[in-house]
Amino acid sequence: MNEKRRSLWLTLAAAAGAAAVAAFVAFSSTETMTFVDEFFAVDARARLFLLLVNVPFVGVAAHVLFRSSALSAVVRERRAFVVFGLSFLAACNLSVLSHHLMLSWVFLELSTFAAFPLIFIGREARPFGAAWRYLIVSTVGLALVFLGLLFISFGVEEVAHREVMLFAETLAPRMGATAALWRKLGVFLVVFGYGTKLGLAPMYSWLPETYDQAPGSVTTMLAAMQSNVVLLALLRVLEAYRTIEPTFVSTELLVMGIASMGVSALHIVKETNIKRLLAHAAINHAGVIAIGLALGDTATYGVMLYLVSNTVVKALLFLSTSAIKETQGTRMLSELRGLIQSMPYTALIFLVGTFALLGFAPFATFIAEIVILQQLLSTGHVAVFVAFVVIATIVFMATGRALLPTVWGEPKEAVVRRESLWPLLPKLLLIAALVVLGLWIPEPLNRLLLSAAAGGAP
Amino acid sequence: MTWPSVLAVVALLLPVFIGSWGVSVLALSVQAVCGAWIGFHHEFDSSHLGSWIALGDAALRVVLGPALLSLPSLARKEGARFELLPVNMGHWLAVGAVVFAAVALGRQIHAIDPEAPAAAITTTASCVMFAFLVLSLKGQIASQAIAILMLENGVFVFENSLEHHLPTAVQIGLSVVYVITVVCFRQALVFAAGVAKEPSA
Repeated sequence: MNEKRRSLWLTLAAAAGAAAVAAFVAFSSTETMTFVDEFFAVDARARLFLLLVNVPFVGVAAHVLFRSSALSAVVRERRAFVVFGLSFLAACNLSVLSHHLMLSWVFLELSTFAAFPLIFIGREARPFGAAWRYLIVSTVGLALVFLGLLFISFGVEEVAHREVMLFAETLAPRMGATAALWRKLGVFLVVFGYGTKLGLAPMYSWLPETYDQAPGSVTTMLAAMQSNVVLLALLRVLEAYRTIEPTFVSTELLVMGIASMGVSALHIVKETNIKRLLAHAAINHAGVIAIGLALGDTATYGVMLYLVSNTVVKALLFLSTSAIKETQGTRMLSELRGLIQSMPYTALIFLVGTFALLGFAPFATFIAEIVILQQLLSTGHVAVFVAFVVIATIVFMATGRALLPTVWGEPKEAVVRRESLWPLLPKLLLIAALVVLGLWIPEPLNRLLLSAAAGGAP
Repeated sequence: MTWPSVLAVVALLLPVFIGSWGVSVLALSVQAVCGAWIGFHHEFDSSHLGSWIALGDAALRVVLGPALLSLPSLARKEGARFELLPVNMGHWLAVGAVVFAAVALGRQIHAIDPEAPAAAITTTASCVMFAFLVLSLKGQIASQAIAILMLENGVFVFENSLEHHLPTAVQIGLSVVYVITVVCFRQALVFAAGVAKEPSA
């Protein structure tokens, strides 16, 4: 074993261990378990999101170990990657497990701080600018979320030992006592703040720059791991209110969702950088998820399925893009041609990821979008349905037109680089998961998705 | 608890009229003292561990945070050219409008819910809107860092005006988050002041 890479091997081992534990927890039991005075809980939703956080990190750790060249910033500064990467993973896991809304917020903040040095891990000026914007926008968004949670707690009547008990599940029965004013102010701030972290319009501008400037492995951590944690935190707050008012903040989420899809479509049409294009696609997907959350009911199942598929797709594409950038030396779409000839395995993986990204049948993204669209029609949101379909078509065409030539076109230089299959193994496993999800959802996973969609109860 | 809230708003205005790094950092400290004062008189319970942790959190905001940002090297680098907002009539009017809007908001909320802490809401709203004003007008890292810490102090004032405590675990988490925020800001200021290397090939 290369002495210098020992820490990266240990990171991969830790990631694989965490993913194995997450898988065991996810499928071994359906009981809700609580720990530390109920501050932490493992319910169906936590089980699903533990998988969504830990599995992509295995891909990230494997990518850094096997694919990143010795010159890449992540490998040069591997000690920082190990410390902050594992801290990020721990913070994300603890946020998922936190039953108390404020504690979940604390760990989300800590994951943001762990990501900040990772974004400019090479200590260069340009990524630093992106990292700083990520930090300030995240801090502002999360500060507003915390203020929102304080507003919510202001109206909560029942207080144990004079302490604010904002538990995700027990909050709902006590919500009736909350003054409507505080409820509205609080949830508005929470939706706006977490929406900022998700990259929803109007606070999305940090996302393309950060995703573009960060190393591919770090972008994957932000796009495929942290965004899931943010979504879970938002979902838990919404759920508490939905029990007493099923359409609470639905209009706001629909507007944010359609606006995010719209602005991302405009950017995708004229984008020339492959990583920024994928970042705009991530904003588009956040919009789809916001629409699904707005509708609730069966659309929540669609959101869960979409999340699972999207996590795999984002991990695949951002990691593949990183490998492409390292091999081809560019991220400009106009300079990337004929990857199927120059790096065939990576190109094939990228191609499958692109099909899934575009929502081709039979991938789960397609099924999830159909579920959400069906719910839009059944709830009478015809205008949103039409806007969704139009924007999705534009994104489909623009993304396909930009990405497919990178695989099939004429290469600039006909050099075929030998690709070892072993480093590609984690990505091949992700692809297998993607295909299986599209063709047949295994019963245990389907049960988990249904329970998570139903609100976490087993 | 009206006067500490008013003092916190005055502290917010100070760096707008006296544009220096030292005054900005001092303003942060004064705001934190105001928040701590409100908390101490509102919810301090010597038998409750959370109260002591909250007091420790306040001490971090009053002393440690500003101290980390006012280390001599940073003060030298930032002091000479720092303005939280350019000192001119236009910005004074803009900040005045922010405070006026916050007062109106506090009154409106108090009219709907008489139990609401109107003064604390005014302070919090002032801090939040002021931070947004600075963030939208200034791209300088130092200004943005101070603006965000002022926003956080505004949230701290509201947090301390609540009748009940935050759980001890959350309180500890908040202190850790605050310290790491300030450390990150300090490192960013140092980095931006000239540590940045040339991009590698």
